[in-house]
Amino acid sequence: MLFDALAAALGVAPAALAAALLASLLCGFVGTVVVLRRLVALGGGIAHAAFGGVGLALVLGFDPRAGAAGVAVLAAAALSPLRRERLARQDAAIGVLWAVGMAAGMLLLSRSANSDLQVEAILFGDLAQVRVQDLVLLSGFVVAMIATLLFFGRELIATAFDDEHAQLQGLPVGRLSFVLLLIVALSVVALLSLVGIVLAIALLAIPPLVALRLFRSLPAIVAGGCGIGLLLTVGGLAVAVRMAMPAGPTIILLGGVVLGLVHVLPQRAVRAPR
Amino acid sequence: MSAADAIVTLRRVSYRFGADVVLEEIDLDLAEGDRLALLGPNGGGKSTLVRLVLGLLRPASGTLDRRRGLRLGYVPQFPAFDRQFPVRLEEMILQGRLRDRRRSRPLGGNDPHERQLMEALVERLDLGALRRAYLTELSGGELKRALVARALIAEPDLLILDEPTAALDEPSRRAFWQLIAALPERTAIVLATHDLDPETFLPKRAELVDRRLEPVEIGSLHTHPLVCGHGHG
Repeated sequence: MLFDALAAALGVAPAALAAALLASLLCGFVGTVVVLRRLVALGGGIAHAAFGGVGLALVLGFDPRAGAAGVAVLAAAALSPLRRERLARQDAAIGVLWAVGMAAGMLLLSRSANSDLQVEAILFGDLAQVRVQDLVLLSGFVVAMIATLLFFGRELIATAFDDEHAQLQGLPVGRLSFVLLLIVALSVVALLSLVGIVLAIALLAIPPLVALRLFRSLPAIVAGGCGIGLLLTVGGLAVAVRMAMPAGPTIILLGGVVLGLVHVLPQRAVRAPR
Repeated sequence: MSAADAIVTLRRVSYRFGADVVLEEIDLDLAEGDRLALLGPNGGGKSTLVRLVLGLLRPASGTLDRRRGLRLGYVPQFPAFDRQFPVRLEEMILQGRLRDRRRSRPLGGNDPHERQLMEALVERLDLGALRRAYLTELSGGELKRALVARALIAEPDLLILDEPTAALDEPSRRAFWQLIAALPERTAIVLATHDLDPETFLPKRAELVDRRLEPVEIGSLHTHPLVCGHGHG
């Protein structure tokens, strides 16, 4: 199999490679929404709040992903009535959400029997531990998110661009904003098993930020985000395996270097013409 | 005005921002073909009233009714969007037809009527060469003209203009007012400004907005302190 051969050539587990591929699709589609709607800080806040949900799930004895998803959905529902410009200005609220989620998660995890084993994987992810059932779940999620973004594309773009004008055009802006935030929140949760809570939002944001420096049209930015996400996740994974380093932080550091490089180069030199 | 003509009705509408009362006990009727000027000082509540009429704000008290299916066109004083968003000028203008596109072409595609409107508007507003430009590449005046085009391509029943010519140079102002003058008779127009020029837009009626509404005699517009040439002395 070509896929297995590629995994062997890179020296990574096929499951980890498949997870990286799926994550790169989220980088392009959902990450572009995150960056263009300026939801990076908010997404980080939701990711850290989800840590509280993880802690609660472990104490109560159910799947931590369900706990994280539950908190993420609640945060998205609470924040969706805010308009785009107000959302971007909620830095204090986001900071509090961030810290309170982490504090709640740490306290709850300290009550959990196997807390030492869990905390590092939850915070920084563990691609080596990705199982087939995780992949099946992630595939279903990625397909559902991309299908939703494509199906409501015109409406979601109009709302993300100018929610005030979209409302005048009769669009259900409140519901569409909720859908957008929900997609972002759940995507962050989906990436937890790969790069962890601390790094999930960076994985969503870095590839489209690089793509924005290279491309101008929205389809090109989305496609570029997917491609750059793929290069970063697979490249980071391969480097991590070869140098015996944790995969999540390696991927994000590689992303940081690439982002720095495209910002150092003059924009005219790197960007495709109009 | 007959009830059948009414498109927007406000009764005892108040709006507060925190503890501050921005608008108080506003009664206002808008009908088909109306030409209303909202005058008043900066901070008097013109933009808030406009946003209430559009449904972008909710009254703290009172009732506000809009005719069902009313087509709205709005040229805001300041755009609410992020200019970094990767949207081309013509895509932005076409967002003014979003309501129609969703209804008639849920899967996308071109509409000859829409294209015709677009061609006429970009030509009249001198935006033809910029159709493929991204918003970051536009000057303030070009962006304002694009906002005008987005409002007019909607073929609105009610067009609301909030300081619409603030960033425009003289030729663009002239082109803008010619476009407004050419709108169908039944289109209601509300112009919010602190600097009305009756030579370019002569309303059928005018109201002074300063927390409350106070009618201004059209006959006295030329000597009113908030009308062009009288407000800066």
